[in-house]
Amino acid sequence: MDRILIVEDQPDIRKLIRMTLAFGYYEIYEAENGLEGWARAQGLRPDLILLDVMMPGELDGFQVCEKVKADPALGRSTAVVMLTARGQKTDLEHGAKSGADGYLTKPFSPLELVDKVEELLARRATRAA
Amino acid sequence: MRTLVSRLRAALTPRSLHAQITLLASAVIAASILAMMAIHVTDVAELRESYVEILLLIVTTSAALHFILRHALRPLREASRFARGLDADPGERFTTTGQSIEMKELGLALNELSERLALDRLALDVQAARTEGILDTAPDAILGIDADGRIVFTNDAVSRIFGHDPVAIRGRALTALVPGFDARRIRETLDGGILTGGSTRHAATVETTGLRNGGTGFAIEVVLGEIECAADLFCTCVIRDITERRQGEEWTRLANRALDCSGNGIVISDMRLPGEPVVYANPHFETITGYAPSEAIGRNLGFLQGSSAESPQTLSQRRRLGSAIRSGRSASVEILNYRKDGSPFWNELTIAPVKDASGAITHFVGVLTDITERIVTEQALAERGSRLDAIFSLSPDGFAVFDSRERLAYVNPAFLDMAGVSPEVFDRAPTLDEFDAALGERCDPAQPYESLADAQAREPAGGKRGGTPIHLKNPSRILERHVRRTREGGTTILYFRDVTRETEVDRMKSEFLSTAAHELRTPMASIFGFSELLLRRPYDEKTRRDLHETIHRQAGLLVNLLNELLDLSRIEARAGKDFRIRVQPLAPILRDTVAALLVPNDLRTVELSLPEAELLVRVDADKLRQAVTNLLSNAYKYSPRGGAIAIDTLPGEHDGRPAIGIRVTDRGMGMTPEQAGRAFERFYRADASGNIPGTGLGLCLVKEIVEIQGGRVDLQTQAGRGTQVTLWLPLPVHELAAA
Repeated sequence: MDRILIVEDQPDIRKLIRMTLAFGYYEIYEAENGLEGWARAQGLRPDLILLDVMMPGELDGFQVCEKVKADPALGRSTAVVMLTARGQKTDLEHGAKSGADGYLTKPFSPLELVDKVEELLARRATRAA
Repeated sequence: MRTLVSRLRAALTPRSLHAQITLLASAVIAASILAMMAIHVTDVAELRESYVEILLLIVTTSAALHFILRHALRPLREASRFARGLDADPGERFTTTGQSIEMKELGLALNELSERLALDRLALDVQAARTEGILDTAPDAILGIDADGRIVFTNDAVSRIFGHDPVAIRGRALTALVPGFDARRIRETLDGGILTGGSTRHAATVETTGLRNGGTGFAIEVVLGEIECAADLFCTCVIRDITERRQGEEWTRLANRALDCSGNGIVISDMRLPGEPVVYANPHFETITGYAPSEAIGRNLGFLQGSSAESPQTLSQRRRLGSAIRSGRSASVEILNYRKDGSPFWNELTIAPVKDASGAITHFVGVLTDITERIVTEQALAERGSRLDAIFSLSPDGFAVFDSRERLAYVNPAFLDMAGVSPEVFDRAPTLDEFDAALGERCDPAQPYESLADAQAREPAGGKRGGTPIHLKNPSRILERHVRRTREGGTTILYFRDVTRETEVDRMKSEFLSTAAHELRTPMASIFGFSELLLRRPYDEKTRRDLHETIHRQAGLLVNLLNELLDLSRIEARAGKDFRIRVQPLAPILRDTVAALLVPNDLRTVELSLPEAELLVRVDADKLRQAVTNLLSNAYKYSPRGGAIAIDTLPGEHDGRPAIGIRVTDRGMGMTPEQAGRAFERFYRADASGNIPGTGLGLCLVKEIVEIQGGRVDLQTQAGRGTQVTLWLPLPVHELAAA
């Protein structure tokens, strides 16, 4: 079972993602802000993190992504998909710079999210094998 | 018969006096003897004898008489010989010694005559010499001409003027010197001339061409004068070389023409005459002044000053002119004059003295130029200049002007203000490069300064598009620099616009757009996502209902956001024209507002305290409701950890008039003074992180709504302690009367 961590401040969006992924074989974990997300990621060592860009608190999505990618234990084994409400070119570039593996712009299609998650997990599985 | 007698008498009358006396005496003697004989002699024979004797006697007596008389009459002969020789030797004396009384008297008379003759002759000689001297020193050639047109007399000037020997030329025809002037021509010329001195003598003057020895011609003036008395002279001929005069005349003609053609008015005043009148004015004088030369001549040029003569400016110019005239200097003044038709014109009057050989000023030449157009242009330019100065000094934009040597010529107050420098800094007039370097030093090192040279290299045309941004560090400002170089004069103008606020607004706008997008996308993500799940996946009734509620709630949030945006732009655009303001009680509005407030996920209620007495306000109820809602919404949003939210009213005043305050108080996070200072700026959000949803327009809306209704908004806040916002609304007038 792949472990997925959702880091998102809006409860409705967390609920949406949770319900979207409910039909797959995933262990779903949630965090409400960047700091909490980073802490949980270190403990959980999730296979994939769905990470909101704009979050309250000391760490925003990009910073969490950078930390994850810089972490020797997580870096290569954890895929990161950024969720942003901005969808501007600078955000995409920022995301790539932070080492994100995927990018979804709000509002996103739940099926698209499922496809993205499955694709990244499959790639990770291939790499692991 | 008578002829015969007279002839006989003439034949018998001897020429000499002594012969006549002798003959007469002989005749007397002969007659006496014959008479005596007639008395004494009776005998004829005796008589015959006596005849011989008598004849002898008569002969001897006559001879003796002749001899005596001849001797006695010799002094008379000498006297006549002397008299004859007087002409040749006037002043000779006749010897009277040993002469008879009669001869002595004759001699004295002769001597007297001789003496007078000598004196006359001397006087004549002197006069002749004088005349000759005068003739020879005369500058003109003077010739005597006879009736045949031949030269009979010349003076020395002939040699100078004609190059001929004055003596050798005598006897030749006048045509040798003056071609064409033969006797007939001379006669005709004289006849065509005038009569001189009431006499019948003619005189004539003609200008013709003379012929110099060697064959060159030259201009001469010939004066012919008829002479009546002199036997060998027919007329005198005075010839003057007028080559120089001709040149002079030509010059005068050319100069006159030049004066006539001049585009300047030219006048000449005679300074020797009382009143220093104008004696000449050229045609252009009339063009400028409207006065014909004839109207100006005889008047002092001051008449052009007309009614302005006593004006201070004219007086000062007149003083300058006066002092120049007194000291005989040239001067140039600009003076207001009037044309004949009364219209004023600006006259640039230049005067210059004319002096005679002794250095005394005889005339002043004045040159008039109508410079009205120039003065008007200058005045317009000066006006334009002062207008530009005013614009420069009033302009909120900065200007620094550099002259053609790239030295600072002018910097306006706005620039000093925006660059935060004191005016003394520029006392030394820095060069463009120094100025540029100094500006560069004041810049934020994080935002590199683009020097003028670099900007020039990047955009040689001088920058048609936007200017160069300059980020000053202290004071922290963003300026936009434009450079313009004038084509003529090489003036460089640096234009600075303070775009600090504009840049900030731009930044806030773009921040707002992305924030607004974020705020809009978040509810949309829920709506879009959940509805897709509902469509794609089977859910039980309970879950479906829950999802529908979520969708509905998020859609409501979306609507709020859109409304807020639209409200603000409408209020700004309409400036309150669509407000439905009327006097109404305040309490129901506030109660409704609190009751209608729906804050998601928050169970806190608002403590509403209203006064017991009914309060009337003059407002648009919907707009006031919106304003209070915004304040309450902020109170909720910015006190995430809970805390009481209260709304109450209090009396006060606004703009010197009684007002009612509606006060919303929270115990939330509050704001720092810096945040509070900007709280009413559009798009400004105290929380930039995006944690708290909002558009940055809520307080702006509140402020707009209250101010349009004649009130104001007060904000009191302390970071970490909470915020208190009071809306002050003026009380309606009749409400005052009721109270």
